[in-house]
Amino acid sequence: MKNDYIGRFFSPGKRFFIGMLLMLVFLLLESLTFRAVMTGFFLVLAVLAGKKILWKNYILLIFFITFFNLLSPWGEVLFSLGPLDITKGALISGLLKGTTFTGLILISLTSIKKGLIIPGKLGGLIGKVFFYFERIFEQKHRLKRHDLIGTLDEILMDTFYESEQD
Amino acid sequence: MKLLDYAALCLAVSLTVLSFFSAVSRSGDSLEILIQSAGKEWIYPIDSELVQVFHGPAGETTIVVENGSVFFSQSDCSEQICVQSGIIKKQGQWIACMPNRVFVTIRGKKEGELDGEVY
Amino acid sequence: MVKSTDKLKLTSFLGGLCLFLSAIEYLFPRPVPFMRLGLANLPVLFALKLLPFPYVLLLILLKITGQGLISGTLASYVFLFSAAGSFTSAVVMYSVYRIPAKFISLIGVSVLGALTGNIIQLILSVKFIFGDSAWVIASLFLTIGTVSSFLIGLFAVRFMKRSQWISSLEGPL
Repeated sequence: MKNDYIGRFFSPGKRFFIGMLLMLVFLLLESLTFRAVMTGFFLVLAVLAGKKILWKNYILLIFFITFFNLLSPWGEVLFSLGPLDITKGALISGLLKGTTFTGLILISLTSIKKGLIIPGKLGGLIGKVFFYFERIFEQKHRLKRHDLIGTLDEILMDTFYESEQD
Repeated sequence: MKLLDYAALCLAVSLTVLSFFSAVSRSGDSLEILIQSAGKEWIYPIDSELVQVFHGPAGETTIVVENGSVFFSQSDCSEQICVQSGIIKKQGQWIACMPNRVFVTIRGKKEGELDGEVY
Repeated sequence: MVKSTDKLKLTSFLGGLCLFLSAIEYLFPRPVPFMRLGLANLPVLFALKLLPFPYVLLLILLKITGQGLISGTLASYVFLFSAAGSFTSAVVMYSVYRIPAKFISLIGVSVLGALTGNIIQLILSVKFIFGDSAWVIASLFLTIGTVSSFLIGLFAVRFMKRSQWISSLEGPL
């Protein structure tokens, strides 16, 4: 587990609140430069938070979003790549959508920390969901490829009733 | 597998196939507007809504795209042929403003042109 | 009749199973990074049989919130898309599940549920992210979705036939 530098200064609740404020600011201004700079900033935050950064996924995501937007030309033709006209409007709109999508994922990654308490009844249920998730996950090695049904059934049987006592 | 399981699968498969063909044909039949002025080009889908001003040797020329059609709403040229040309909305139609060197034409999307050559 | 506390327990247990299956799915190598198999839909199929509808909806809420908390995407488009897809899919699956079992099994339920969820997610992502041109890849996503939902449905049918755990729950219901 990498170091979470942000966790040293902020409680999970405060962290979530600040993250949501940043996200609001991020969405307020629809400018490519602004969103790109903010996305860079969110990336730094996510690294500081010790989050695993899926570089390849984010780059591919921005690439595909931009590519598909370029297929619907809009505005001044900047240059042509074979049969595809690269238009300024489509390029900006694609990059804007791509960075926005990536920025939202990154700030979300940073804001949400295990130990974030979701209030009320739902929060309690989520806690239970994670409790069962961990119980089942501990038994993962018992799943056998040749008898998925039988082994999964045994795991469910044990984990469901074993926690009956508490 | 029950009767409606087959029906569900058939529905899923046919929607998948349909989505493939509609995507292919969609890219073919939509028209786009090509504007040329001052050595540059602009492309817009025909269903856009926009007003754009172009600068040429004679002054300003304003082009309006709306309701699936294009027209010159104003031009600083002397002859005003472009403004009088009225509205165009079909593939292959064009309007030009010679004095101000602005040219507008409606064309199919590139895939559409290729399809046309096959027939 | 099962007490409502037991129903809540079963709902959160199925939620935990959803997260477990998402985790398993995450471990598989994926040819396309955004491709999803939807293994986490399996517990929802169980829930149709074991729980009343409001609990099925609660399970969906727990599933997507849990997934969002684990992947950290709780506060992004991804969450909204998966929420819209999962809830509509659950409504469709529940409606179809009410058709007498003589005519349809969990295979059809699973396929139709996945189809609905995928179409909703496609429409949203085309509208807000990728633009109209992305319909080209829609067919690829629908293909993957159809195949995997068919297999998941098949697994659900076989599992429910053999499972002691399922029959231990069915008794009192």
